Amino acid sequence: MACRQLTAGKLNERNTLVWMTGAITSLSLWAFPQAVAWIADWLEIAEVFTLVALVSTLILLGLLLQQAVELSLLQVRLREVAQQLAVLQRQTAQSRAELQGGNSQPQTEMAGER
Amino acid sequence: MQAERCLIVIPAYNEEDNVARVIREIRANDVYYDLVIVDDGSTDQTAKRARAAGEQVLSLPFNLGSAGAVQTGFKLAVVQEYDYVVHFDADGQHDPRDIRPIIETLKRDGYDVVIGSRVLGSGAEDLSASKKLIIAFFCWLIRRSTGQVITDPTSGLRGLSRRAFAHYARMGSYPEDYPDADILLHMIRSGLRVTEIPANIRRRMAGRSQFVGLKGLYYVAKMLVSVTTVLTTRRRGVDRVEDNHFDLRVAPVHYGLPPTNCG
Repeated sequence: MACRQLTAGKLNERNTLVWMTGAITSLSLWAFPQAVAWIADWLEIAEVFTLVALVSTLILLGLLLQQAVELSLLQVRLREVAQQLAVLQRQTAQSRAELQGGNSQPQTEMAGER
Repeated sequence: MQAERCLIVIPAYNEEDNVARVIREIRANDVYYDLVIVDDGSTDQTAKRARAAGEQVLSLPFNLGSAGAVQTGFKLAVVQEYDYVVHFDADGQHDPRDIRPIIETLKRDGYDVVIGSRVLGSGAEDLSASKKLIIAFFCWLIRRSTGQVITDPTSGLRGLSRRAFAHYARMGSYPEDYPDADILLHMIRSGLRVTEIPANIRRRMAGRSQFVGLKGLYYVAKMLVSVTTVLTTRRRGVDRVEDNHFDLRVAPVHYGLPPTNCG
């Protein structure tokens, strides 16, 4: 599914890799229960299911954190773009007014105005 | 010598009932500095009424919050080479008679940030018990961590020198919302000179405060996280601003965000 999203341009390569790493790790735990039992013995965890639940939770939390970081960065950039847009629109309107010679309060509709 | 220029930045979100009155009141008090209304994605007639009152309006394409709107005003001030900026609310709580003393303090004494304090002036008695408790806590926190006494850390009435507003105009350098005690802490720790003068803060003329109900709880929680971030982040001085050009590739300098690579 991730590969299909990648080829459809809905998911970029970095996020595909992250998602696939998490998915393969999780699925491997289910596919190889003997390995899970061995790891549980090594870590001295009595219940194998506890280890599976722990690892799955950690993988999910890691994925969520990675997405949260990406979202935060995008929000900062989006905010910057919106602010620069507002300033540039204002400057463009001012320049237009100066060229038209005199009207200091341009009547152009601005984004978001009702 | 060129006269120093000051810009009054008024962020406004759905303040159609207040904005024209606020503008008229400012002008009626012989305050002739440049003024810009930052329309923060309002869904009402805020921008139209501000324009009809004869003032310049910056319209954001969607709501960014008060801090985002103020930061937009900072950007305009940098691009248009202002020397001072005064942040003034559009809800009628701030008194236009406090604008001139703030600017005079900035010019005369060389401060970077001048806060209009309702505790030193008037208006503190109108605060709710919870707001007083929050202010008391932030006062203690700022005094404990910086040694500086600030009596009204949540006051939105602030004047900034170019050194200050040019720094906080940069991407990622200003909080997303409620720039109160956290940004004050950052300013002091960055070496900016901060002071307070008495101010008269009034009740809102119309409309509803944003700090009611769950939003009030969110404010407290968010401020605690933000203040913790500021206190645990390595101190950095405020950079000199050599030019007035904005570049999306400028790395965020605050709140631990990693450098961007938009290029």
